Amino acid sequence: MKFLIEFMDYINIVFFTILVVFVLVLILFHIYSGAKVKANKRLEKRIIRLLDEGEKGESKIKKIKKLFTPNGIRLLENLATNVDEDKVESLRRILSTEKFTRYFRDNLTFKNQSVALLTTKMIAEIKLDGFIPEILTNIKRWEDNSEAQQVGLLALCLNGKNKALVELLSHKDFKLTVSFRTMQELVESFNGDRIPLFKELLSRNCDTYIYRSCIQSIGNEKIYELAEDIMPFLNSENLNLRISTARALGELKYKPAKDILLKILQDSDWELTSAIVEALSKISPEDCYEIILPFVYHKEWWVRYRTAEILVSLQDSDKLITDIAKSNDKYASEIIEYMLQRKELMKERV
Amino acid sequence: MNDVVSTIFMFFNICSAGYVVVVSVTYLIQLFYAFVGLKKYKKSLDYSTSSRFIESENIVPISVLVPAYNEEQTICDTVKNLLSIDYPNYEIVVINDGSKDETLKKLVEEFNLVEINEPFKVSISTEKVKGVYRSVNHINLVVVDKENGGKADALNAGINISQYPVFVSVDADCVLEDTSLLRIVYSFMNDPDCVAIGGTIRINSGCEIENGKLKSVALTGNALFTIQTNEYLRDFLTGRIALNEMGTLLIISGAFGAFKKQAVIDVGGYTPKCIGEDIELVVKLHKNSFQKNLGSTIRFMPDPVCWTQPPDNLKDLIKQRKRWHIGLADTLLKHKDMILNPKYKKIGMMTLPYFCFFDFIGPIIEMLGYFFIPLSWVLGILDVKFMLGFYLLGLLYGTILSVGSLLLEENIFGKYPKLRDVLKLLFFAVVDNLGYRQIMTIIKIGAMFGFRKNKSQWGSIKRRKYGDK
Repeated sequence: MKFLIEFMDYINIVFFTILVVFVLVLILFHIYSGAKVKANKRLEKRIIRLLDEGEKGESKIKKIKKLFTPNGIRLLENLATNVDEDKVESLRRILSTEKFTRYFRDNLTFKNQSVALLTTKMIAEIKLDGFIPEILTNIKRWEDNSEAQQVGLLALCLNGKNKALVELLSHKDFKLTVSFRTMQELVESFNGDRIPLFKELLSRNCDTYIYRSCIQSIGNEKIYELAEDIMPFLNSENLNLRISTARALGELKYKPAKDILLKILQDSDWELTSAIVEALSKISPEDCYEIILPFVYHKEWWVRYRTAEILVSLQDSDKLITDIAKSNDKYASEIIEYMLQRKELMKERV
Repeated sequence: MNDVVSTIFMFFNICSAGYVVVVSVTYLIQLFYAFVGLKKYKKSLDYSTSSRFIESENIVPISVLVPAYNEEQTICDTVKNLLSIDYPNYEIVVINDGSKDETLKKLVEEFNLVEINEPFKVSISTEKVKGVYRSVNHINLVVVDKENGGKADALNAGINISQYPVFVSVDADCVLEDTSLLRIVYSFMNDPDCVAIGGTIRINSGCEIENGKLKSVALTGNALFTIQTNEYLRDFLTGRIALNEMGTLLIISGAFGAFKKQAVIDVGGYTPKCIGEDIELVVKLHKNSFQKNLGSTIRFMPDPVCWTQPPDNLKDLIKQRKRWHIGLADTLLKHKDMILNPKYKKIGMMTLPYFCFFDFIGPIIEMLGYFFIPLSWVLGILDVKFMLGFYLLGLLYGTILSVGSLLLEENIFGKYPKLRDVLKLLFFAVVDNLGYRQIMTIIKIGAMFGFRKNKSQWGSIKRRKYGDK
């Protein structure tokens, strides 16, 4: 019993000490954080004011020591996304001076991963030039870290580094770790002429996500001159790549693709079928009705749904209702009825 | 005889004291893991590029499912809040689960709903859907009116009608922060194996909510709300983060969680008539992943925040906690084959036994301590020092855990800008242990006894309109 009491006393003393420390730290931390937020806001306002003052202000900014800290980098990145392009240009000029360049380069080379990535992100947002070798080295250094790869690629894309991107993404040792949607976002953020970038990437041996991102962007941005370059991907072994290509060709309204799409339509996966039906409706809306009508009776629900959506946008409702009625297909009738109802609702909304 | 009684008493006393020590040490370890996890998370925020997706079409489109049963007081504000969220491509699916009040009527009037004959793929069977309504004003709002079948059934109906690959379940009394959806879904994009992500729930009492939008964060003077605020901070910022850090997350709150639709359909959706449908779904996802060797991950994110309305009286609070505990018991019983089964690795060997011990055996041992220790002292079996030491230990570990969670909150998020609010939380971190915690322990024990009777009821508690004090 004595031992138990002593043991409990001992634990209570330890816990009480921990509690007192926690309480003190909590209060001090609250006061410190509040002060830090206010100081950051003041500094941000001061920098904005100095940016308005022109050269005199710029030289004052260069002397602000707090900017040479991780917190300063955070502040710079935040500034870049909240001020107008003229101010970002001034900031870019200031941060391209030797002292800042040396500090950023040190961060990228010698500091820990989080500081290096924070610096890379700031470089990306402000579009600072001259750090490509360090960024490429870091992407390779942390090749399994998708966040490191993402931030590095973002810096290359926002700076429009076509050559560096092509070399990196098509390198035999490069392993893409970011998701498809992230890759797509990166490709779309590329700040420069995308046609040579896409052409070059599509002709090299790259990851499927990279091909798909390029192809999707070609479709979204209607880059008709690259339609021929994406055609071979309709025969890819990768289903998602074939789907993306069919969609992109649809977006481009690329007539020469019609026959190949029709051929693939005969024996395709339902997702691909759905994509081709959509593509055909865009490529030749004038004569695709009869081709795509049978797909409203497809065994897969989503194909029926998408086909119905397209048919309603293509054809006048009376003919459509008559044609569907002939089939005696209850599910097709239901889905067409819903699509027509929805169309009416959309009109009301307008 | 006296010796036998005193030996029995001493056995219970030592068990109770030992339990409190084990609990204290376990929670301190959790606090440490939570600190490590949050530190890592904070660093990753520095270089996260999630904000780039706010206006991007490249983010995963999502369906937000809002099951509603007798929610006429808050449903319109909740939908308004969801309609104002920063997210490029999403739909809101409200499922009216046979409400007896005017939930549907209010929605129809407020959002100009029109009944539409919408066919949908029935991936999971549910109670009969009576009608589907779409809004003339908001293209992304759909309301499903169905026969009553419980929250799980309502969510299944929502899954059937939803059209996007990821769905987020949100309770009808919750308010999301502007970027909550973006943050929770962004994680799916970076982890292809991830099938579910839970977000943090916090108490919205005292917060300024205007037109369903959260304007500012503060506390009220109501003690029950403040104690619950501490409780939520403790549960989410310590417990969940620690479990997440250890790769053993078992609970994603039904109030705010994101799921890959196909993964949920593959396990048969939410289990109907299941009171703890949220935890049960997560266990099923884990089970399926281990059985089929899918390598799925289930994660918790501390930052996407959902602000919920807490019960404002003890009766509703007791009802709510009973329901939670019954839900946990029901899940553990349904999946008892996983407990201590090495096939389910950390989940089977660590997490499930942890919940069995701390949530079922624990409260009984703790209660026995509250009963036997003072009785032993009265009977002269026990030294007064032991009794005081026991109570002090219980008070200290509970307070440390609350203050530790507050410290994590302050260090990473700092959602409460006023020092007054932090001091208030600090004060209630102590008070919380002088009665409230004991009441919760009694509720847990009570729930176990009423388990069979109550295990499939909708947990409705009295709602207040936002802005009501």
